[in-house]
Amino acid sequence: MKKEYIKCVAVLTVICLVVAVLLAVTNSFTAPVIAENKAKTIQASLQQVIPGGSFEELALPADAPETVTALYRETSGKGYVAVLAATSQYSNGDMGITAAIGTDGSIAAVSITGYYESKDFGRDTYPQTFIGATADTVMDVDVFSGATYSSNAFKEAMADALATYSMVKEASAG
Amino acid sequence: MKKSNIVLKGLLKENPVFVLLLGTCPTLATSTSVISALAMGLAATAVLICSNIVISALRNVIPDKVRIPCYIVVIAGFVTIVQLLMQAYLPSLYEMLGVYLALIVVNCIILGRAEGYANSHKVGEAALDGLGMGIGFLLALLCMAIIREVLGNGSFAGMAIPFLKDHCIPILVQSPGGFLVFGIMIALVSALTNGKAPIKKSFDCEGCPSAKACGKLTCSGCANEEKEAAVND
Repeated sequence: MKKEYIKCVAVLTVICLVVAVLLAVTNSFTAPVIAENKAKTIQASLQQVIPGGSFEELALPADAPETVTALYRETSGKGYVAVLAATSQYSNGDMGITAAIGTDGSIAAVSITGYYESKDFGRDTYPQTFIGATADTVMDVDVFSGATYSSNAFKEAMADALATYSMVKEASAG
Repeated sequence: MKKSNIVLKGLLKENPVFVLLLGTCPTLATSTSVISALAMGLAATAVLICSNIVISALRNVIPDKVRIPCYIVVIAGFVTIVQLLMQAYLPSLYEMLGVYLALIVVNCIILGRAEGYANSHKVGEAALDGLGMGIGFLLALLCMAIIREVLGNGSFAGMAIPFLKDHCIPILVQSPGGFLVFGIMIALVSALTNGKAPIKKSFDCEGCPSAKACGKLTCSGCANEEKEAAVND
């Protein structure tokens, strides 16, 4: 009986190790391509939210929310752009969001760069309902019925973008 | 069985979707457009062939008691490899399939063929079975997707069809329409095959694929196995 159990454990362990090695090999050559694709998508989304802009990446404040992965300043003073990665209970990957914040501190434009939720909250229409929202009003925007978790994750990401913007403005003013 | 028959049986006579009624969830979810159906079908076929080959090759090595965890690890490994490759080289398709690509791991067709065929047949036959079942799944998805996208959205592979675009039946691309088309397709395939579904296994202990591993002493086979094990100890 003991021999049988040892064999079971050994076989399962060996199979797991072989599969792990195969995944590591695949990841080693796909990871750079995936990172390159993501960078291209982010660059395209920056141009989409502030067309014709040129961008300078800023260091994130130490207490910036985890959803904010990068923050850019448009060099001619058109505003800021936050790059976000949000997740919900029904995510199969990060929901990529690029949000432009105007000089008045309100959401000026939003672009979705990745969407892996099990329900579509209307990728082309729902984000547009946040345009004009400020840190005080962003949580008043309605969620999308039928995709409550995904739209809540999106709403919280928008609030995080505005909070990070406020931190950066306060830091530069202070 | 002839090698050609192993492949051909998956297309109609033992079609995994319309006859064996396996993989219904991804079928209904990804058959709203021809492109996503094609991508899902090809991804599942690749995983099915590879997992069948590996499971068949290891059939004498994997102990019965841990065979399901072993199959799941092998299948999950192949699904993750397909996922990484699609994310790197076909990002738009990866995004289109969303959560359903990862869910291939728990696709009943793949686990069903591993358990019901690959673990008791030679590598070549298991590969052909994977190919046949994969093509059967792909064809089923494509049939459903063509009907749903053309009639429900008035387009084919994203290209608008002039007259149908203005006279489409939107319910067909929604969940109820998926069930409706699925039911009609099952009826059609049943009529084509004269309702001759494959013979089902018995539902008693002997027909249970886990009979040897479950350790229930009520079953004579398992009881013998337990006795043998006790004697060996």
